[in-house]
Amino acid sequence: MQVVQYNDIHVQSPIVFIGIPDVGLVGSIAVSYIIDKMQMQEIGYIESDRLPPILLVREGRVKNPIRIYSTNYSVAIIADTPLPPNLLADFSSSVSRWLKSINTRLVVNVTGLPVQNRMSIDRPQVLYVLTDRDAVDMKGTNAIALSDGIIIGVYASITKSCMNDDIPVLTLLAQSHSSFPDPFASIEALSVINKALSMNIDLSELMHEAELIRIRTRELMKQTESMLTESRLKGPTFYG
Amino acid sequence: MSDIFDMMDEMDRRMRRLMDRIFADAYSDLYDMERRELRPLTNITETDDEVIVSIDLPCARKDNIELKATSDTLYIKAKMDRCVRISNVDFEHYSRSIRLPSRVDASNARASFKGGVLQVRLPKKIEGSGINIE
Repeated sequence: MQVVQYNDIHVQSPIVFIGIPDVGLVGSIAVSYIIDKMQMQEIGYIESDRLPPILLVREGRVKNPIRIYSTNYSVAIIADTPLPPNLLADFSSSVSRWLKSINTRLVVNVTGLPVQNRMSIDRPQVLYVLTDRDAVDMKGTNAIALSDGIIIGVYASITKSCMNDDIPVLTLLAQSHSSFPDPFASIEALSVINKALSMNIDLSELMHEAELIRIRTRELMKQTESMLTESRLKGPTFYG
Repeated sequence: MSDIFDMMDEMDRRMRRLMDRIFADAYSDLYDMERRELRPLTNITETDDEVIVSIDLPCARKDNIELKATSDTLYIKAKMDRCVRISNVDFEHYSRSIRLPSRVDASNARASFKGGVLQVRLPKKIEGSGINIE
């Protein structure tokens, strides 16, 4: 597995957002929205002959399933397909090596924390795990530090690889539905990102479009659900 | 000359039917292309006493949901408050029948709808009867 860049990139010490299909598609929805709102440009993709044979066609153009976008200060990695468990280690180490090569300041993972009573929760709580306490000041956010627990799956793999490469990682876990796309969980995670990283992503469009997003991401949710079930990772990607 | 146009029309019809079939096969779990209905995502869990079915119904409103249950199947129909176009097809309804993992007492089912998610709790049917030991 390797990172392919279209051109040399000129982003220095970026913050890197990672959105891979997972519980409630919380990360996929949040990072897609960041890419759109920050008007990021596609700068490359991740290549592997072991990835599922999927290509996305958007506005008549063929796109790779795992793409990399950037602006001057930020990078985003997003996937249109859930990653098979047997590729996670390879994916994570390839991404981490590349992140090291571009002198990444911070990796931000966004994911869902499945809760049984999600229906009765109006505003999902966001928990966080920070591998380097000095990397981000989380005091001004509503997020709660996870004191004890286990994270499983793609974000655990990315975090491990980045720790090995001395790249700080902030993982945000927003309470979410496990089997349904949950853009409201993404909104809460993005609110934390806005405060923690002094960003100003306008969330009104995501709130307004949330129901349509839930309909349009059903197929990806179903694929992701199948993959999580197959890999026996269904249920909590976190144990506390 | 009209023969050629008739032939082209027929080819077009066949192609459309073929595309509809391919599309329907690919997404049969999520779409009913013929009826132009979405099949909602569902999640079924069980406790000792209940079967709990959660159904994702974005763009639906409580007043436009029809729910029926028998001892082994739950039927849901719902009208969406807007038309959603997916792959050039307009969808306005949800519809799905859901086979339940245990037999239930449908007459005592309860349902709630919040945030576009319908949750139906169906008490399990108690099979058999207790025997007193003298």
